[in-house]
Amino acid sequence: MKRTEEEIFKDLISKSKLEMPSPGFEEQVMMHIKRENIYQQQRVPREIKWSWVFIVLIIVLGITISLLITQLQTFIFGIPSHSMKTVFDFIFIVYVLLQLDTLIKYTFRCDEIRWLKR
Amino acid sequence: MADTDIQKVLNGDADAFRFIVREHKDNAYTLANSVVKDEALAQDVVQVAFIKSYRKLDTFKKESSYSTWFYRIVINEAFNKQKKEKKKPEALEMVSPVELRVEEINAEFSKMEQNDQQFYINEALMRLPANYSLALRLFYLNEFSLEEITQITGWTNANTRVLLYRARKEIKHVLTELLNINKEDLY
Repeated sequence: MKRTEEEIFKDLISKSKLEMPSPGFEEQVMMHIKRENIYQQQRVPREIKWSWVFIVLIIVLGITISLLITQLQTFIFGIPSHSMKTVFDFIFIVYVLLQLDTLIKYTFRCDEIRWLKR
Repeated sequence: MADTDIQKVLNGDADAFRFIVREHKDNAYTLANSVVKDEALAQDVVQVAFIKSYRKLDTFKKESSYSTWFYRIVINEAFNKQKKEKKKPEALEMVSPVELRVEEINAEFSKMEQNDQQFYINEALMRLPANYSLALRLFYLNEFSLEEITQITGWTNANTRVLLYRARKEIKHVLTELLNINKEDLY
């Protein structure tokens, strides 16, 4: 039976499969992955600690700015300082809550970051 | 199967990734070699691609198969490597005789030992531009559909068809030339 050109091409190209020449390739990749996991396991708790430090600093700074705005008793960009304080406090609280939510999630809900511990 | 292994890896069993590596390493190496045309570079490309795929596994959406998703990483990595190395394929210096038809090439092949067949076809693919050898292998060796090839390579459907057409034409030309040279002279 006469074969089509497509069939012949398929037959020819099917002979072009190569094999990974390095016999230890699989082991090399797995070793690299294991090393990376160890590094990740050490790095993440450290980064979470620093995030807590920064969020505390942000809260302190936010409260300070809020108090300063209260004491100004003047107009900022044409807006009375007490109105400005309300807007600032609102934005600040929303921001801090969002950040805290993320941070608490990463700190306590270990199942969310289970992939890091594999 | 890859899906089960992927789930295991996502559930924290890093060792399950070994089975994914075992299943895909040869195909990935073959595709990487189509682009970089160098054994050592292709190995590097595949290693980096596996590590990237492991890191990004939680972003794998399962809208396509793992192989489609992974080979895209391999090919992107291979083209990046090729750009860095600026390696150009070795050109044949002889003038081509009358081009053989694919049936004639096949007839010549059928007279050869299996090792020789592999040698000639791989040598021909090595001398083709990266896009051509990649298109041929994805379509005929891996048997991906045109749609899947567009997902893997980022080429358009029309572009893939054109590449396949040109690649078929070019490989006939290269094989005709190679079959006119003694195998020993090619080493």
